[in-house]
Amino acid sequence: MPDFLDHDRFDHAIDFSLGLLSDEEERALLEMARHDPEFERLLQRQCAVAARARAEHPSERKRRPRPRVGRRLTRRVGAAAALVAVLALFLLLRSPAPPGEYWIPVDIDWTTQRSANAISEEWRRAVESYAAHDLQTAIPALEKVRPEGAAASLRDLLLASSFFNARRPIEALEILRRIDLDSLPEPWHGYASELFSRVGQQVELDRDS
Amino acid sequence: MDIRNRSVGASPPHWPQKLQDLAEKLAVAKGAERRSLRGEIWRVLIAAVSGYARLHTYKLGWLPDAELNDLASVKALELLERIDGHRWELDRETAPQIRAFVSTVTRNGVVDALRRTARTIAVPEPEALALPTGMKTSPSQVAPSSSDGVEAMEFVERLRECVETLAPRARKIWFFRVFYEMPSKWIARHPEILMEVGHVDVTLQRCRKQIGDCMQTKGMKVRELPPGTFAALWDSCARERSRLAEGEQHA
Repeated sequence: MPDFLDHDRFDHAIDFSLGLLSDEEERALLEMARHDPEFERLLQRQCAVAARARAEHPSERKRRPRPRVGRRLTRRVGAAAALVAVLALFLLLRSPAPPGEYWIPVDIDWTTQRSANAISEEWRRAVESYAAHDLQTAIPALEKVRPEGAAASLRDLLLASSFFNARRPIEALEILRRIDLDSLPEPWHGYASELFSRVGQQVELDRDS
Repeated sequence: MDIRNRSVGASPPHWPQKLQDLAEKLAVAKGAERRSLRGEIWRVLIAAVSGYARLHTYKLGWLPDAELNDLASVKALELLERIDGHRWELDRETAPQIRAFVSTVTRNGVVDALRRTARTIAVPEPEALALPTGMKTSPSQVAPSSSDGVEAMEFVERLRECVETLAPRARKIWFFRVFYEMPSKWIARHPEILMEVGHVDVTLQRCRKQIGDCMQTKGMKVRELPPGTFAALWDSCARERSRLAEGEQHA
């Protein structure tokens, strides 16, 4: 077996990308990479995965540096926020908000045409049941169908929306996390961003309750 | 040169131990700490699964990057849920067992993905393995002449000097785009950057100009990056990263 398919090399690249190596070990790997383009490429790819994962992980995203504002302004904003929170709590207790729904507008002909090569009756039926807001049929149908190319992202988006509308936000979030939002063209990018935001809010709400 | 001859080659991988430590903390954590630990475990898992997925695709058959990313995402999440649901007790496993399990789960995922996409699963001949898809070097990288090698080293050294003239955060933004091919939106939300997307784009534009001008003053033209560039520049960015973190703490 060629050297580069050695399991250990991949393990070292994983450690490197996660910042788990000592300075000495890092230097040794970088020295190795300078003389071995294949290993350098492997390190580069692993580091890219790790960097993307850090960008994707929402709990770290929340750690934005707080803007420096004057103490007086902070107090005023704090007081206003407290008032809003009390009002929100009052309204929430008075009349519980109905579960949110988010349906993505679907043009069946256009949507199913996108995967013309791999199109199957299954895919068309899945999209039709989603368009008819028939969650009981849509969810298993979308889970089963495996369209290729751009339609794969679309299928994930519709499935995530279905889970959200079926009050299953955790599953919706899991699906959304695997969609590369930046690769989606408009209007899908906009729909996905909106859905992501709503699902995130719902997950937080459920956790807090 | 074999990595096993180096000091790092002799040591066992660290990520299984890291996974065990995090899982132990997760078992007793609550609220925000729990969410944060799940995130950390997910990051270790996605790195491990991505690495192993690439290894297995070299052996079993090619998969496009998008599919590899999907697979890594799904399998990492599956493993995370096993850990969180106490269906995979890491404290009862040894590091080699953890590696073997992650490798097996990943391999099964690769096999399924190849079956789904109706690609043939066959172990290629050793000759074919010598240059797997996606790792092929450009013709200029194959057996370079000594003058090519010297020229490349010179280029990398000048580029490193120019990159080091950038501000730490700008340098990292440039590095993320050039070497990790991260879109601006992702760069913007990276915890070491945290900027508006538009600001990232403007910074990138300035970086390119500054590096281009700098290279010109050194009599060099910006061209395709030769092998060794990532390793040479990562080093300086890593040093800068710790300085950046210190600076942020004191700010």
